[in-house]
Amino acid sequence: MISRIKPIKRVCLLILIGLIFLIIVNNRLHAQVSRSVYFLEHLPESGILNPAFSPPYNFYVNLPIISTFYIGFESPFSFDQLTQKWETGDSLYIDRETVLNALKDNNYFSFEIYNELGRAGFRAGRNYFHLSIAKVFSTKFSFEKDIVELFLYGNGSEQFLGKPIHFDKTGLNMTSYHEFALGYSIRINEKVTVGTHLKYLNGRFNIWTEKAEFKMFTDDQSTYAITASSDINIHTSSTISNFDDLIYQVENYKWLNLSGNHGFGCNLGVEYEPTSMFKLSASVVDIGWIKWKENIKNFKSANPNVDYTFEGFDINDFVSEGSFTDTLDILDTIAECFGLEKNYEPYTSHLNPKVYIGGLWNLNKSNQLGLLIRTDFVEQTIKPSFTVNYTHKFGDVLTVYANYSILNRNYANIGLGFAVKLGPVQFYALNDMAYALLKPREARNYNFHFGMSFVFGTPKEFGKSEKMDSNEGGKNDGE
Amino acid sequence: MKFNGFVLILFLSVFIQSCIEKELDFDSIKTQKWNSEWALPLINSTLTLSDLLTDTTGIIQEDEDGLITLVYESEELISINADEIVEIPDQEDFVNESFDLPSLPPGISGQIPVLFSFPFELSEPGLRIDSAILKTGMYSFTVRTDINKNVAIVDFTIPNIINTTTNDTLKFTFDLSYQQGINEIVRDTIIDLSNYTLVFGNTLGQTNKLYINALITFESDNNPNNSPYYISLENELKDMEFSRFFGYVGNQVIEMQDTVNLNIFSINEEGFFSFGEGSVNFQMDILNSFGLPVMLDVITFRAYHGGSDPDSIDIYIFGEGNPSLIELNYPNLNQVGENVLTQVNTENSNIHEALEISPGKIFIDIDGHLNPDEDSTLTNFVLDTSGIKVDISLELELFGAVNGFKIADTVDFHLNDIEDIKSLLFVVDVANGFPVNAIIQLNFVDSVYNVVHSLLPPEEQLMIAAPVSSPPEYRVLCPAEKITNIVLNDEELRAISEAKKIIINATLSTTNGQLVKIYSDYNIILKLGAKVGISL
Repeated sequence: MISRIKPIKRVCLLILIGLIFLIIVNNRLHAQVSRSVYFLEHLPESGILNPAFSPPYNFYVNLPIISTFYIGFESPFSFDQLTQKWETGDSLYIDRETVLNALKDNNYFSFEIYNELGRAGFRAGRNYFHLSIAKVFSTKFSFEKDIVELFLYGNGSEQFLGKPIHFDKTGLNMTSYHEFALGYSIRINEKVTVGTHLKYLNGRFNIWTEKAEFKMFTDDQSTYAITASSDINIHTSSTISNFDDLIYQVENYKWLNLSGNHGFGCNLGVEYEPTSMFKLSASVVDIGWIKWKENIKNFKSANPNVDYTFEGFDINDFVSEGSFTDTLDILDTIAECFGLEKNYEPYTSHLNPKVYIGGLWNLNKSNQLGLLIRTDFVEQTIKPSFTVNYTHKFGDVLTVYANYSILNRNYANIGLGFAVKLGPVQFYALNDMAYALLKPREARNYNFHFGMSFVFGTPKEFGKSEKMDSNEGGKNDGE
Repeated sequence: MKFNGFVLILFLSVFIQSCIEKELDFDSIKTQKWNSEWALPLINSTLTLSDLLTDTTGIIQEDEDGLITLVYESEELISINADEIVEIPDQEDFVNESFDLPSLPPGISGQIPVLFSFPFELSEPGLRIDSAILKTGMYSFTVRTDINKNVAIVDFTIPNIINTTTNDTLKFTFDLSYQQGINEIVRDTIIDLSNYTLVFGNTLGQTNKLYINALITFESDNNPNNSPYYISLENELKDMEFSRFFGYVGNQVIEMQDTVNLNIFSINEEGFFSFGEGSVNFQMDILNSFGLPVMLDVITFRAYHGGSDPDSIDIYIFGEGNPSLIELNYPNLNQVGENVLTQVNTENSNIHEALEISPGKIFIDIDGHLNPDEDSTLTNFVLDTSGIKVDISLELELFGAVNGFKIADTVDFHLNDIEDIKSLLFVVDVANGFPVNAIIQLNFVDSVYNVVHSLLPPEEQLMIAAPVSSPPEYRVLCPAEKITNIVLNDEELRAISEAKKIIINATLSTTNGQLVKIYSDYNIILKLGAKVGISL
């Protein structure tokens, strides 16, 4: 027994070191959302995506630092799409045509971090209770292809000269909050389980571009007079004075140093298991809002949608009493017309809800096929994504999976991951875009999700599928 | 064995992660030059005549119809200060007289008058002071005597020095009582002359003589009578400045010079501006407050045209062949302190002829002869504020024709950091409200004035003259608009970047030599836009 434990400890140590290393390295890697965890119901973290899910253990606990960490990044183009190789040498250059071809009319970069301080849960008969504390950081920069094209070609190019330009999809939404979640699920009968997570949200940082509309027209008939108008409404709540080391600053918010920015959220889920072969599930997560009250600065257009035409500087403005002057009235006029008024009114921002609809097909005791449709509701747009999953279990110890996703108009998303259970220690490393690890230059989306749990006890009477797994695994957990 | 596979996967993952940073090597991205084009409006200005002419403060006038007149005036044709024409020099005189005291019984009083006089010297012979009201001056007076009476005084009276306020003669008294052991009695005083008037009763042969009357009063005592006694006076009058002077200042010459800049012509290279009939008004008004005859002699009055083809022409005030002598009116004794005007009739002058060379400046040199007839019997008066001011004004009504009126200017030019600019297109939109055509050229030159690039094609007419109505208004009917594109390619931009100066040439002309008038509501609406091709 002793001789067997030692190698296991060594492996655990190696894995732990590897995971910590991955955290560090992954500070430069980014991903979207770990869809893979949806197919690994035996992980306590699967409840993040569907609160009806509960692990097949009587009790679990995730410890700080090694609890659950998720990081994700999405880009509208890959490194290869951004760059081309010179014919001579190894240097790269940015090819504007390639960049523009990679862009759609509306695009976004997103960056998300989900970092749990801890998580715990226990079963009480048919009921399962969960408690978790997490930091959530989410940022999304939306922009239009036209704005990139304008930068690359200029307003004097044939694409824009004499043609109206209208930007209204560009904006930055960035938020950071602490999430205190209380989860509950109940197995209503052998086929149906429902669950919910009720969350108290404590906002730390927010930039919300409610509106950023800009119109411009460069006249090609005269001396290039420029007519422009804007309508901007940006809300911020921040104690951050600058954007240097933003992530570091956000991550260093103290866990229990709460702000006055209170919010509430809710996740709802249902799982339906008509036979031991099939399982259907659905959930709605991130329904909620935060009322931002502290350190508010709102910026709103002083003259929304009022056209101002700039036809050039007046020579006379440069000369005052025979000498040149460095202050121009026209600059004051422009600042007045396009200036932003500041106010300090509280505001409410909403979370971006997501709907998950999934299905599992247990091919046999070791193999499983899954399908997941995730729909993100961002502002007024709906962003669906699709994932097909194959999971293979090597006994009770190792579970590996591969999945394929279509997301963010990208079709090359192969996910790979594993979950390992060594006695009461269960850890996992998940990825929806393993291709990004193998071919990072060609990937547009990156994510990584890992965590570690300590799980104890198998329920005496559990669902059919768990029974089947338990019998075939031949062992009880927590021994 | 199952774990060996897992560990392999883990380490593969770690290895892959470490490779990602190498794969996504943003530092290896070099700049690719691609051209973007940016269109910007640069200038949108409405320019009036005062904007177009430099240094126009006070020279632009307009009549009730708005017709513009440029007025150029002399500013420096003013005589030197009056106190430099008439100066009261410092005086220093020592006079000595002796007197006898009668032998009287002790206790009896007696009086002895003593009269002093000495000449009041002036700077030049022939000058004369009848009177001078002083505003500054000091009189140092010292008396010495060997009188030996225990009770004695002396009263001085100076009839030539009168208090300006009270009209009293200057008087003062000294105690000359004898003190044992002191053989010479010395007394002195200093008198401020700032409120006194010097008055000289000049008669033939008795000019500018200062008299001092002394009256010695004594009481006879037992002291020995040492007659004759002496009494001497030391007189020092200095720092005397007058506020008014009456007398004769003599025959003097004062010089006055000035240059009038006609900046409308100052940058003209060639061509001419032909003024319409009655559009030039040349005036010469002279103000004189010297109370004496003055004859002005215009030594030089010449118009100069500079530039590459210099020229000059003499201006004859009264016409060629007639001496330019001007006898000034002057105030009489009832007009003390007043300026008396002398208006010079310039109708016969050749000023039109002078203007045809487009003079950038006019130089004037005048000698003013005071008392030209040298009549010393005259009574002159001069105040400390007196002077002669010659006002020459040249009013040019902007009515005429312009023919090949070429102006040029050179400005420093320095352009760098334009490596990223690959092309430049200027669009010049001029709505010309002036009835003048303009052919403009900007020559970019290097340090030795070799032309490295000419901005515009030769004879490019940037501004078209606006059409005008019929006489006598000659008013612009509507502005004439012209849009000109100026294209600079990469090679031309590189050439311009080498330039150190820009020589700006503009040739102005009215259409077919037509007469036009320039009104104050004329303007040029200048719009300039640029399309810049930038290689990023």
